[in-house]
Amino acid sequence: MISFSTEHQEQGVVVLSVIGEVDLHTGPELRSAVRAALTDPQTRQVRVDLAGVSFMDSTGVSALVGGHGEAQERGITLVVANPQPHVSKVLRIVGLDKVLGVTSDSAGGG
Amino acid sequence: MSEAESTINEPISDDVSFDVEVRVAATPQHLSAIRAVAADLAMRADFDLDAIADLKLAVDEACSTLVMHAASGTELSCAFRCTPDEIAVRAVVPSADGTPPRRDTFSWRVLSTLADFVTASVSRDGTPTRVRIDLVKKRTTVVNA
Repeated sequence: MISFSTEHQEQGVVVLSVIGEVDLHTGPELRSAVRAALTDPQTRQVRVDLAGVSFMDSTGVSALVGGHGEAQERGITLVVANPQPHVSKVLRIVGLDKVLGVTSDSAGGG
Repeated sequence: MSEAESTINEPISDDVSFDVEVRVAATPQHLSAIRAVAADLAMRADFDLDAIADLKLAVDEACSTLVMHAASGTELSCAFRCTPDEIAVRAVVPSADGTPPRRDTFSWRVLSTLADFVTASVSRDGTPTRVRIDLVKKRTTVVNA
């Protein structure tokens, strides 16, 4: 199960909040949601907030990597925010925590 | 037994018996049920929270890989054996095309990092050809990636 909410902030910042589990079943939905945020012509930065993601596997990583590449092509910044520890761990294992620009609200990031 | 092995190690012998077996249609929507069983067994085996999360993710990656290799309309079997020191998992599907899981994927990297042992093999000694992933997670090992 997965759900999304999108909040448009100032200066073209779009916060895409993801709630639920990201796996082989729901990964394509995450990919679509990221793509939708990127295709808005007002968008300058997409912030994918993973605070509500209780589980994410490599399918989710692939969706984020795909979104990151597409963002670069459009001149948009994509950052990943607030992953729970075991979600951060998946990103670290595949070496993408730094590539994707992971930030945390509580640490004053973003 | 004619098996094309792609092996890191061989942790589980072929004649071992398992305590729990989950059988589901080999489709992505049932992966969450397998994860729930894996997490429950690890909890009852007194794994700590990090090791429970590691096993849950490793089993998910193994079964996701197999779902993508499964012939249409078939079942995925995921069997667990719990001992005081470890949980051993054997997941099997009838193969769509007889190819083994690729090793150059994010999924394999996660699986091989989190599991203490992992083996992928294609068995052609029966009909249909089957793809199998065995993995073992020891109770005390937590991967600090």
